[in-house]
Amino acid sequence: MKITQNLQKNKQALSQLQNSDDIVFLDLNIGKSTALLIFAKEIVDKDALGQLVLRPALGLEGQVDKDTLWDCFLNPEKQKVFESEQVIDQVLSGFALLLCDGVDFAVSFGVQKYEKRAIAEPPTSTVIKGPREGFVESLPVNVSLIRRRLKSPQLVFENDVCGRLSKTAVSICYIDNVVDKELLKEVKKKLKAVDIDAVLDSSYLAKYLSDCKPSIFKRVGNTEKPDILVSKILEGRVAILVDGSPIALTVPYLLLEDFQSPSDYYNSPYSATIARFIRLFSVILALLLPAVFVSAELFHLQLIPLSFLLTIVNSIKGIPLSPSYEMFFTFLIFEILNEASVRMPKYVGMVVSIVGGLVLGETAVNAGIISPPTLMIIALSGICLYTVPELEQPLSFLRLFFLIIAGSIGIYGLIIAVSSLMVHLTCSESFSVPLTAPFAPLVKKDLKDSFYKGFLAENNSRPQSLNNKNKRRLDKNVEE
Amino acid sequence: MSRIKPKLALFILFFVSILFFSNDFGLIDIEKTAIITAIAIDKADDGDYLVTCQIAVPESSNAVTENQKAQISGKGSTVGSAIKSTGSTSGWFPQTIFCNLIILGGDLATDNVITVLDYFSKTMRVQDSAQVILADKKAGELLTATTPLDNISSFAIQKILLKNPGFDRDVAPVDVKTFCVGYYSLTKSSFMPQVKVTPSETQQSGSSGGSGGSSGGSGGESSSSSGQDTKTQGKNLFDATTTALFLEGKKVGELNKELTHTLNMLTGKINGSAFSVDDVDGNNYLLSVLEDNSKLRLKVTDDKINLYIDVKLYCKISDQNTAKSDSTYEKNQPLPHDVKTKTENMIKDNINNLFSVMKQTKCDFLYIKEKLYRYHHKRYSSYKDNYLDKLNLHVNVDVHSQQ
Amino acid sequence: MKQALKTRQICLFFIAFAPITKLFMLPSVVASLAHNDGWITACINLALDLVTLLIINLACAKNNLTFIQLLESAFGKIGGKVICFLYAVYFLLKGFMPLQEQKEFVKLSLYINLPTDLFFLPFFALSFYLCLKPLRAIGRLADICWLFTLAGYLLLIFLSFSGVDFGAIMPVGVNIKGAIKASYHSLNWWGDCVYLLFFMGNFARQKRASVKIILSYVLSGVIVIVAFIFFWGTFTSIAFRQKFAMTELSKYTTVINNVGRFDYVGILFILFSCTFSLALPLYFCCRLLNYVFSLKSPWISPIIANGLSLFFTLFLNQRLSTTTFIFQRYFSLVFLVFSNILPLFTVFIKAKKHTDKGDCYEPNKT
Repeated sequence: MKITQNLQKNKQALSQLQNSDDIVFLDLNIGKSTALLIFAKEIVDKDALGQLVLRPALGLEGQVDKDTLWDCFLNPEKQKVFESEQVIDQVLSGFALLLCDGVDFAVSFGVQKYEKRAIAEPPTSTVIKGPREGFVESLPVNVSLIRRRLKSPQLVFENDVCGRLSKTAVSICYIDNVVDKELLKEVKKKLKAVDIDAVLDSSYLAKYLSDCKPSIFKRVGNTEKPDILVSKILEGRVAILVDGSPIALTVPYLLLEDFQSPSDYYNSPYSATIARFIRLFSVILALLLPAVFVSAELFHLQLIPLSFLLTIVNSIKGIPLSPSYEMFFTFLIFEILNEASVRMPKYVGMVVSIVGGLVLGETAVNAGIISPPTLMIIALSGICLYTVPELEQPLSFLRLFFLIIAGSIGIYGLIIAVSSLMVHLTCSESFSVPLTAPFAPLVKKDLKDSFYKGFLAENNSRPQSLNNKNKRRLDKNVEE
Repeated sequence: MSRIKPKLALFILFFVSILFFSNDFGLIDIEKTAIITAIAIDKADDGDYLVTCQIAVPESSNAVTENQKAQISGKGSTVGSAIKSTGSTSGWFPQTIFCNLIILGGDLATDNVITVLDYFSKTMRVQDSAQVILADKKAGELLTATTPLDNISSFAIQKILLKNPGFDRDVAPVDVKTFCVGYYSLTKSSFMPQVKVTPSETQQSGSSGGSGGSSGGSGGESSSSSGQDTKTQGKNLFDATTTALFLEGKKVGELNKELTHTLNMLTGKINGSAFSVDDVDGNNYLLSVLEDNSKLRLKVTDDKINLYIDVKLYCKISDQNTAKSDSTYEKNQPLPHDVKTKTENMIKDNINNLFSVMKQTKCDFLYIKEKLYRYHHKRYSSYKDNYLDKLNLHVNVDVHSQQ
Repeated sequence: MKQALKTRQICLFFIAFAPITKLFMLPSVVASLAHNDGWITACINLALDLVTLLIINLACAKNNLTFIQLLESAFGKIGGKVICFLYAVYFLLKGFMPLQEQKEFVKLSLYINLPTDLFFLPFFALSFYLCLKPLRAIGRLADICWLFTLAGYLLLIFLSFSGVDFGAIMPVGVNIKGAIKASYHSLNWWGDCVYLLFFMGNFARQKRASVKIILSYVLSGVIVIVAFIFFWGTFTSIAFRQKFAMTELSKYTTVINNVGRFDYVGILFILFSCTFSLALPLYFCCRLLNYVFSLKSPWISPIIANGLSLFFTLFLNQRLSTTTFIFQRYFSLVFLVFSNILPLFTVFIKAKKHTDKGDCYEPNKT
């Protein structure tokens, strides 16, 4: 509905805001005209409101017309609003709006003031060397963190709103001369299609951006660190920042991303390569070790060296559970401990770790309920899982799945399960980019930053797996 | 189909879970499995096969895990059925995949041993990489013999067989596959170590595992006992330096320690082994072989087969029974001429003796007939029946000192 | 139109999947007939396949149509469907024997204590799942599997090296008759060149694509030839008894005695690639059935192909020796015709202009 010159009519149009106590309708006299200032009192900066809105307004004399009203304010974030729906949205977003009798628009002032957390290092991606800043829940702060790192006019933020009730501010971020326009179009299309009550976190949007086919693997990357985000958009990805979430989304997502740690880029390529291979080896160990051990114990004793087999036979003497049960329950206990230690307050969590890890484990072994090899394998596999924390959830699920398969059908079942996983992964795509690139399909140039981390000079082009423009990213003559 | 998908997934999950949690498809509990480390086969009086299986039984003490042995026996008209019967009588499932030693009783060698070994060659249940040996007397006695070398006698025998290549080279170990390959080759010849139990000279007490048991040794008397042996003092050692020769599966002769060493020299390398050269000007020497460059060449003409054996050894004196100044050893003292000559003559004699045994027994353990077939195929048919008679030996031995 | 595959993927496809099924039972089948000339058998089969591959490559270079489009332009829609149906049956037959030997391997070698067919059945679940996937999945799997194939193969070859008597292949050519006979009997295992027929028009031809593809096939052949030589050199007179060749080779090294059967790592790598290799005939059978019967649902053809395969696997379980005999003796001619003779005619087909309908093997694009 249009704002009219009649203030009373406008006030009636905005009556639905009057139900809430935190919305203030302040009647004013500006010169000889009556006016109405509307704002949500808990999310505006009252000092700024006084200084930038009320003081100049009350200083006006005589009859106020359109031009005097507009010109008297020096607030840099002022804008004209002509629709009453827009007025409501702006008020609820922390703007102050001034309506004046005889003027057919409202003046909106950017005087928002939200409570926000200080910038800190995100707990999920700590580094020994490198930047320690992490995103916070405030979108403007997050935008500022990115802009500070890329002072280029090619860096573009496009704002949008998602959520029928939450009207959450969402910002799409990309480098204009690098990003694939088709990809950008696709992202915008998918965001437009979001029809949900509230977007409380970026993960809500991640589900919409995925292809909706059920998969345990995510199709949208995420990060809590501005330096990682900048490096990703520099490769041609599109980032999505959501107000109220410290986690930014990036698309397209490659499985390989989770094996790359930010510290790899700040350390020597040699140590980065070793670290990446260790991560890969750990993931394989975490996934397959319990399963292979159980299947070897049940079906394929020939896989175990004789001396180790004798140790196993000795250690399982008197254990009441079969090898598969034993592994399954130890796995279950580990997951319970894991779940409890995450949920519990920090000081109790420590106690749980000690009681669970040391006391329970030691006692269970001494009591002859579980055998030491089983405990060791589950512990090792659990630790290995956390070398790639981003993949912890799917890997944890797969670990259980493989264990059940191996305990039921043995090693051939395990091979079939791994093969099926491989088929699933190679066919999965994120925004038309294969999840398993640059290995399947093989993209030779991108292998320089895969498990092998090449020197900076070797990585002179942007990843070919992503359909980016402007392939070259640095001069070949860079010296390490 | 999209409706069926989750239902199908649920059904598969349910089915797999049942399999997982029931384990009810004939699985054998690992604890009920007898891990057989060696199989000894003898001929029973009634002509059946008597099989004694040695089982490794791990036992833990607070400090170490040491392995004890137990023997289970079975009888059957075939080797396979005899092994199977060990499970029926003992209640343990015989897990033969870890069996690395097969011992044939001495009395089996009078018949074709391949009737016994064929089972191991064909079945997937036993690895045909298992070592095969011939017992001097009863095969079961070898397994029940106690030794200070290891709590499990079969492990002690394997140590002698498998560690030997890098050391003395006076044992000619052979696995089931190699024996069968020889048997089924054109030569129909094979060999295997013949192992006998010798009393330990040291009369050592206590076992190597630190158990220090004090009960009396069974000394080969409990060959068919079931259950775990009592801890016994090790009193026996094993000698595998004699090599039994087989033609068409039957034992036709033996090679003594020296000839076994010579056989190893001609079929492979003897680097690291040693020769004792005694009584050279009243001195005794021990020569270590640093490098062995022995070659066999077969040259065939219309009327004879010439076998050229060139032995080239680089040796050094490791020990001698006269006192020498330290500096002599440091300077890699060259071999005295007499020592060199005596060693060369000794090797030459051994090679000639080896070929005498070969001609006598007609056991072609150097597979000359195979070489004739492979490299002189055109003349093979004319020589295949009398090649050993037509064989002219040309032996050239050079023993060098390391410079 | 964006092509589903790249030339590189075709090359890796042949390296990853072509040699793998020939490393299990085939060496002993060949050894029983050709003895020390078993490797010549492999050379004959390889040469035969290379000729076919060359011709198909020429056909690929001549036009950019898929095999089905080519058949339609030459024989019309009905004619094309009849030929495709015959090829679907051929793929069903081609996949059958390697499946049976794999089943036997799994049963007898992996599950020594508990030999039952139950453990092999999950293969059909994988095969079914793969059959639902588009052609690009095969290319991407090839991109990964060649590493497993080569790693497993090289590990086993390395471990078995010390036990090989290379002189055993002498004298060369004395069993040439046996080699030719063995070559005929092993046609079931060879003939992988026929897959290129179904990649026609579906891959982006790069520079010197034909040379690259032929070289990759040669490499896959060399892998088999070397395996044959190693196999005969290890077992010589008892080679015909060794049912599962490649997995038996490496256990004689002394390292195995010390640290246990770590050669199983190589065997499992090979087995991993082999599962896909075994599913390939069923995969192509499904694609052809989709076309022949214009199937709309992607589920029907995998159910038919895998169901039939599963049925015959269970039904002929007790008659495996007879089935093997029949396949080697009588069906070899069928394999020769479909793998090596019929593809030769593709080069003579004059293609009419064909409207681009995309990948007509996909059920939703039929």
